[in-house]
Amino acid sequence: MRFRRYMDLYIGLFFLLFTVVYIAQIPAIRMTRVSRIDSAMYPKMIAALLLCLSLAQIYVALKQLKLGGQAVREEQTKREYKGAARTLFLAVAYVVMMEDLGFLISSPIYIFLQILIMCPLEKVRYVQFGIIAIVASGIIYVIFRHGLNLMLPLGLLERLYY
Amino acid sequence: MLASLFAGSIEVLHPMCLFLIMTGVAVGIVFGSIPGLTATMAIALFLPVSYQFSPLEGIALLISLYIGGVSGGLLSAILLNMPGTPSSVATCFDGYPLTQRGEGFKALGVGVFFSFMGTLISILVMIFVAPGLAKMALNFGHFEYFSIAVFALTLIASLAGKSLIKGLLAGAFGMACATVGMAPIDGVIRFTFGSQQLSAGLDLLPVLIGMFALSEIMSSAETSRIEDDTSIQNIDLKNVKGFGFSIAEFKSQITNMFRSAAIGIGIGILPGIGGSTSNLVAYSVAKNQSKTPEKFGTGIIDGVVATETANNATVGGAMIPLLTLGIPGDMTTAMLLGGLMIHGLTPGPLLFVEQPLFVSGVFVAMILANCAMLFQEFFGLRFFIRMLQTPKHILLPIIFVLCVVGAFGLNSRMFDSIIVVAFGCVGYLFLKLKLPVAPFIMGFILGPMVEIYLRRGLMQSKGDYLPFLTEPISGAFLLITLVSVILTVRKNIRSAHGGAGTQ
Repeated sequence: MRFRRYMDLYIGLFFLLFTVVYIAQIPAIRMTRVSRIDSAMYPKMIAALLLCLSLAQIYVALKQLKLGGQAVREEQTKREYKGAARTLFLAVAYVVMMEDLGFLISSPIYIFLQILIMCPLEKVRYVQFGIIAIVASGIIYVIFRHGLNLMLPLGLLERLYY
Repeated sequence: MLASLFAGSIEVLHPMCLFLIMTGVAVGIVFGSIPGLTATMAIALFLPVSYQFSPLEGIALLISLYIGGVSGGLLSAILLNMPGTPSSVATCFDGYPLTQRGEGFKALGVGVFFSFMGTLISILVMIFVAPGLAKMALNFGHFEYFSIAVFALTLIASLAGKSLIKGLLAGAFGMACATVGMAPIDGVIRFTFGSQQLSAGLDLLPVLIGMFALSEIMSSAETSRIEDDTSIQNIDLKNVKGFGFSIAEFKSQITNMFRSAAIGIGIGILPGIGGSTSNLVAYSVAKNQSKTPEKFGTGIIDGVVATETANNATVGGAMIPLLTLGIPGDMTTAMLLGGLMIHGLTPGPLLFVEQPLFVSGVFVAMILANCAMLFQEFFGLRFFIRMLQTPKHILLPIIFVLCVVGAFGLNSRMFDSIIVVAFGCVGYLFLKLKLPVAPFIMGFILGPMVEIYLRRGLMQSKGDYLPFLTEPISGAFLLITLVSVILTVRKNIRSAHGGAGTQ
């Protein structure tokens, strides 16, 4: 409730923070004499635009809060934010570890765990989900590796074989 | 013309050629419908395969992959809110809300039918007025491209949703993200924070997959354990006939269809822009021209008609400079150019003189591939909808794996998959902060075009800004841009006063 009341202000602050980081990087752009305008000019134009817009957003949000805040409607759907956080954590772990573990090991583990994160507790079937994860990963691997010649990372399996 | 088309059709109506067209369209649809895989990838993979057939058979296969691939993107956009290709981003905006209302069949039917119409109109334009249009496109230089890109950027305002400032912020954020990596012209490295991997910049595909697919999975993970119904959507298939829409609805969309087809063809002809822009431009123009713009984004067929007609019309548009001048407009047509060249054919005006039968054959093959696309997608509609009855806790993780594989396949490096996750977080943040995604995508696609043509134009004019205004086509577009900005600001001030008045 509190978050949604201040949401417009947070948006302005988020973009202002992004703009500050963006502007801080502009002096690091190397100057060349190849073109009439250098490679920093266009980013400077974007930075100016971002700065004006984020300040305008903060101004509008503060004005709205002063007038009593925006109308906040209670959301109908119940949400469990832990699910989103776990999904993100799992996705990060999956892409970071795929190179070392290999597609054929990391993908079944990812699919299995992600199904468990999203599945209602009363519908959990460990064996069924395990089989789905292994079969789906195997089919994707065969299609892409042998059908489309995409060299998906083998990871651990490569070290075992060679 | 009709006599040469008849002769060309005799060449194409060969069982082997028909088989290749059917197969190409089917494979293209599969590639298009899976987020992360695109028509370009399908053509790249089948390019060596096409070599073993006759030139016409080989090109028919590649063109069928192209047509199927562009159209296939609508399936995942409408059913899962994940655009299968960059060309179907705007299809999500109204297609998915229709699915959520239980009208997924209608949304798919509209998408498939108007994809067919878009391609058909563009093929007819290509057959009858291709050389004239191509010559006109040749008059476009750096000044004109810059002005067109600036004009297209102003359309962000109409995609902004309720708050213009938030929409513009999202658009500027997209433009800023697109500056990461190597700068155009002088190749200076920018905003990479010392990362070697970021030097190549951010590819559109991983950014799109992250913004739409991962954020959708994260959002589903918030509710999937709580809601009783685990399937993605329940769509009633009883009493559904034909494509799911009435003749009256078709008649109401005729203007929208021709306008969007014209936008698609126009953008397709201009090198370097393509379907990823045409669908967003057509959507925003349809919204601006509509009597009920407030209904856009809530699930009306007008949005699906505009985007699907435009992105498919881009196919025919992109083929015009390729065949008449030998200029590929984008990556996909560059692959097709490669396909032609490995068969010893050089596209250009001479191709029409030396190989008239081949050119007519290509036209007929495109028409047949378009019919095959309509046929296969129409009979597959019920199958695609049944896919939604798979519990989402099983379907979505498998789709994410496909997304990661697709991103990896772009450059065979895991870094692109990491970009998917990074922009998944951005997409989720946009969702939670109720920021519009369309302006971000528009800024990300058009931002680099604005910079590159501004710098090239200034190099050509030796630092003089005046030619941007004095060149007739460029000046006209900048004038239209100015009028568009004034109208948008006036509309916003009026609606702000109206809103204040009613409060």
